[in-house]
Amino acid sequence: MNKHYRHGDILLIKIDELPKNIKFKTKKSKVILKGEVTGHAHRLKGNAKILEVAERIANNLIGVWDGQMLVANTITAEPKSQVIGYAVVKEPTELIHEEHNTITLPVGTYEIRRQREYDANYIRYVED
Amino acid sequence: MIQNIPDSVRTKLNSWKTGENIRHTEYGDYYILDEIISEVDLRSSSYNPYTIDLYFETEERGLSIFHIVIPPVNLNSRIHTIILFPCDTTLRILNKRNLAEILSGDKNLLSNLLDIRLILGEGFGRPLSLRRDDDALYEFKYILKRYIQDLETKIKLEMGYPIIFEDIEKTENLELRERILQEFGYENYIREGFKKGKINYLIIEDEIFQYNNPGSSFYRIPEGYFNNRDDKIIFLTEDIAFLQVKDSSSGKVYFLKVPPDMRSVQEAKAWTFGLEKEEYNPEIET
Repeated sequence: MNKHYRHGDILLIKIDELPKNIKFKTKKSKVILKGEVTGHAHRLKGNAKILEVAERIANNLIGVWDGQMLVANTITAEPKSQVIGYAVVKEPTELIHEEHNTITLPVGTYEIRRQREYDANYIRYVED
Repeated sequence: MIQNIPDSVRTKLNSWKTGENIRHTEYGDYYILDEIISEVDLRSSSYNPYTIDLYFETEERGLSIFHIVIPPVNLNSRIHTIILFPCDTTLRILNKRNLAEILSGDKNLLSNLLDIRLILGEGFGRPLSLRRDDDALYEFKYILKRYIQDLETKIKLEMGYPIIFEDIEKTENLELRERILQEFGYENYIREGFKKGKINYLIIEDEIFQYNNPGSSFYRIPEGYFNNRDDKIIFLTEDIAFLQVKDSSSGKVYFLKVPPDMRSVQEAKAWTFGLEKEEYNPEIET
């Protein structure tokens, strides 16, 4: 099982490599997420990179049986709504926050997920 | 009567005296006077409004809200305006700015408003991430509705109005909900929930307790649940469940809404990160 690191309302999951069907852009700041009421932020120290999703690329070319023949059908990768970005950590890096203990992340690539809440009509992120 | 309002605005206000534009709250009924949404904003990938709230005092209930949301200046788009007025009350304007001038929509005046640093700017300017165009309007209105609900809660807190059970149910911002829960009391909240029939079950350490007679007095909250334990309790209502999580670093307790079909603490925690019960097993939690 991939290793998980939970830091308050975000969860970092160590992954083997970055997904291939996404175009990334590097975030200028090292802030992963900032609370709107508290102003507190999850941030990375050092020279780790935070990647945001710039574009998801339609990657699956699969055949669909229409009754008579196979028809090629392009399906866009379904976004994982809770994944808010990725982090590339080249050397052990501290993940800090005003209210949470510091986690030292080992070298690796991480998927960053944000905690969500349930709503009968709409699934939404946790906001603080 | 409300003073110094231009005729055009007054006409609109009068025309909306009945129907769904009235909002009933604990401290009065409000008209939602106007809500203008521009196409530009709906299509922008993200929207981060400046929000300015002007509070006016009313003679009868002591409160009314005049609420303007102004999009970033560089968008050069129309103004989002939400105006809430208490019904049948006389307004005494506490802010020195002339209400009529504000309502008239004069662009210069509105840009001057940006200089007014008032109560907000911390907590309600939720960035709206709009996805597909089809969803945008629905999403915007939905967020707007929640936004107004949280605004009411914030005002109640600031003005010292008593918090009621329903405030906790409807408040969306976690920090804000936590503040009013503290004020209301966690145990009180669960007790009230049972009384009102809003809470039907408790899951404590993965054991389900069902109460067939919610109003009865046999219900007792196990000692220490709200002080010492981490992530150990869920209470279920008909259409929503709450998971209690305790932040191990700060010691803060939060209640997160999870789907009502959750039947264990582990399942609910995993769900909040979009994972299956078996998948969620963090090496470090802090």
